[in-house]
Amino acid sequence: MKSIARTTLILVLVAIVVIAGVAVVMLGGFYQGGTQPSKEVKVLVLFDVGGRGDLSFNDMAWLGAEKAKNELNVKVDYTTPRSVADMENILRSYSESGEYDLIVLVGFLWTDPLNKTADNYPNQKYALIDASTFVNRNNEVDILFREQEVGALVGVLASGMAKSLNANKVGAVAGMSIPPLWRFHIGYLFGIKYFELKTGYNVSLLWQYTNTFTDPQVGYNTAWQMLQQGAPVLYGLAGYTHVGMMDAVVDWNKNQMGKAFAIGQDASQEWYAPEYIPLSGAKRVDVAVYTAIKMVVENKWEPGIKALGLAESGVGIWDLEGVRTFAEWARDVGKLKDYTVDEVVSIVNQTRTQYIDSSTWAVYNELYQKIASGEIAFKDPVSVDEYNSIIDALINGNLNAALFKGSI
Amino acid sequence: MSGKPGILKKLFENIASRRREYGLALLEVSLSILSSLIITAFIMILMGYPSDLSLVAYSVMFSKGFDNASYLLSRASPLILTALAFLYPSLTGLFNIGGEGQLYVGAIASLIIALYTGNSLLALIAGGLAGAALGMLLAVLRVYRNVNEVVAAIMINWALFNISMFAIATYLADPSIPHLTRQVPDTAKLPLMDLGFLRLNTSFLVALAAAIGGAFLFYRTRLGFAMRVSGLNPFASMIAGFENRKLMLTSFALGGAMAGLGGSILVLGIVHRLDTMMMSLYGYGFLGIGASLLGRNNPIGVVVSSIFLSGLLIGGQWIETRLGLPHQVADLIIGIIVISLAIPFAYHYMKAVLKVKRK
Repeated sequence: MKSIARTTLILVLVAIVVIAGVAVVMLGGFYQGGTQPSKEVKVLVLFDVGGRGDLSFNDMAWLGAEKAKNELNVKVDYTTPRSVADMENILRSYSESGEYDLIVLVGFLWTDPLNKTADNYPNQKYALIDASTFVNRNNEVDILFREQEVGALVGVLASGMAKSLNANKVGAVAGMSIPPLWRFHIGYLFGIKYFELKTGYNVSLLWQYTNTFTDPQVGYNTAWQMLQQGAPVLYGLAGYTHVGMMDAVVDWNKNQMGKAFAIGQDASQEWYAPEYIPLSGAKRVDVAVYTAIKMVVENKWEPGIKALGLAESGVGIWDLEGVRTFAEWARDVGKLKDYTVDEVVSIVNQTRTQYIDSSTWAVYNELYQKIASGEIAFKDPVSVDEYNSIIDALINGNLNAALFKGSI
Repeated sequence: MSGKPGILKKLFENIASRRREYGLALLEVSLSILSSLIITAFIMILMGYPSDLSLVAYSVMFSKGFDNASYLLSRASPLILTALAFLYPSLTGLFNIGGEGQLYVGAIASLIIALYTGNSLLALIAGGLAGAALGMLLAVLRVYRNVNEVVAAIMINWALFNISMFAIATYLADPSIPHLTRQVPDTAKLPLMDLGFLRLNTSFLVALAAAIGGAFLFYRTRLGFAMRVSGLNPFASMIAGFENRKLMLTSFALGGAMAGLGGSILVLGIVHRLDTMMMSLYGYGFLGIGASLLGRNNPIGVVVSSIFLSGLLIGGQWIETRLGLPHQVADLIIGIIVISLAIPFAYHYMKAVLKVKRK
């Protein structure tokens, strides 16, 4: 008797589980049906593996998509792959669903998956941000940045700050030796040499690849060595690694080792330590994402490779308004601890006026005009050899070697 | 004549009790899945989401997670192997936490062989052997030096993670994209089989063969029987004349080979290249432990549970796009399933303890 009762119980429970399962799956079908018949443009943003919350690259992509959502009235969905192994399959399954008018892929890790997928879905549009497959497809636009332009402007300002600190070296903590970093290197060195040409003040560059974008400890050690070698102005080009560089600069100042400054990149990072980070270079991933979505909404799809520079406000130096925006953002997620937003902005403003003199700003403005107007344009190295030869020529004072158009 | 009915009766009883055993296991697993869904729903309500959202989330998760069989099976294949890597040693009473490290060496070994020979079979064998060698190392430390295999595995995992990154960055890197290795040549890639309704990744067949082979070994051969006995009761096994040490070494090497093979099929069948942060491999070894527990110590059960977990993970991705919920909801469900799977075990254990006390 007991075993019959138990068998019945088991059967009943299994039945409940099965029925619940079927009901849930059917509800899923119903739910899908409910949202299908909308005519609005739908966009899917696929983040880098890191995902949101980095207060930098991925968050800026999100910012651009949110702006498009509010201003262009599109529906935007997001997702973050868990691992690189998932990326191709994720891309394939969303492409297959045909639900989205545009799939925005954020970051270079998507290059390989996109190459394997894009040809199979000719009606699905893709926008790859900050990377390129270098293959021309009618359904793909690759949006790159002209990092040389922001690098050059930062180079001028860094040299100016070194001058006001009576130093003759500046440094950069770089991530891996990949093409975007090559472009930064060329620009940064160009800016330093341009400053020398205009003011006669000679500054040399310490450039170091750390081979990682994720290890702040390595960034800290690298930065500390540069500070000891007498480079008081350091440019961070290594993502999370250069957060360690910023910590090193803060400690250097706090331990009375001398005055030193850090320069951020991509997002405005002044809020992290406003007294010691007076500047950040901008790489407007948000503008790139917004541009891509806008092309689809306005039916002006232009496949191919697009590069955003100063003229398109794709790169630049964050102004105080940008500094304020990111400081507010950091405050909202509880990362801004020791300062208020207003304090951040006023400290940054004060440091900028104190340590960057008017002659430096004059050089900056002149270079800015030349780049923005297209009077000069930078070369884009496609191989390590070409990159190395440009760097060598720049070190020897041949500024034109870095230029594709125009001359100094 | 008189003996025969007895044998038949025994056989029938045996089958009946087996069936009840499987029925119970199935029931326990379904109940823990159901209860974890309910618990997660409560957590979501506590987190401030509307109460009906969890139902919608589950419906999206299950309908989207299991509607693309090709993706589902290829996602599950490496997971089946890392789950087997935990399962096989556990049948002899050892805990192989080192699946993650064995996966790395397997992946690197088969990548190197694939790059230099362009032969997928050789690359698979190399991956399996590399994993087995590492498993063997842990087992030797355990058996002959009494070093706890869990502690050793955790430390070796980290060492291997960093050595692998070094190898990738220095020797295997693609000169034009230095953060990636060169790609596996086309001849060494595991092919996709187009069956019309399904694009079956050959790597799934490799994983399935490994599971069926393991089931055969453990439940149909003398060696497998000896391994299980030594796992259940080392003392009895010693009395019976089995060599426990050898059995442990064999099972651990077998587990290592499974994880190594998992790394191989990831490289040869799915990602085709590695990156300097090991992002394409990270986590499969650890997730395999959960899949093994969910599979109830049974190789075939592991195949089912790996597919199920992969479905949850894929569905979790769609939750994020459709509803804007964090995909951690899917991770939460998986974590709670694994915990609630321990509840029936605790129940049986308590019952046994109470029985002993009553006597």
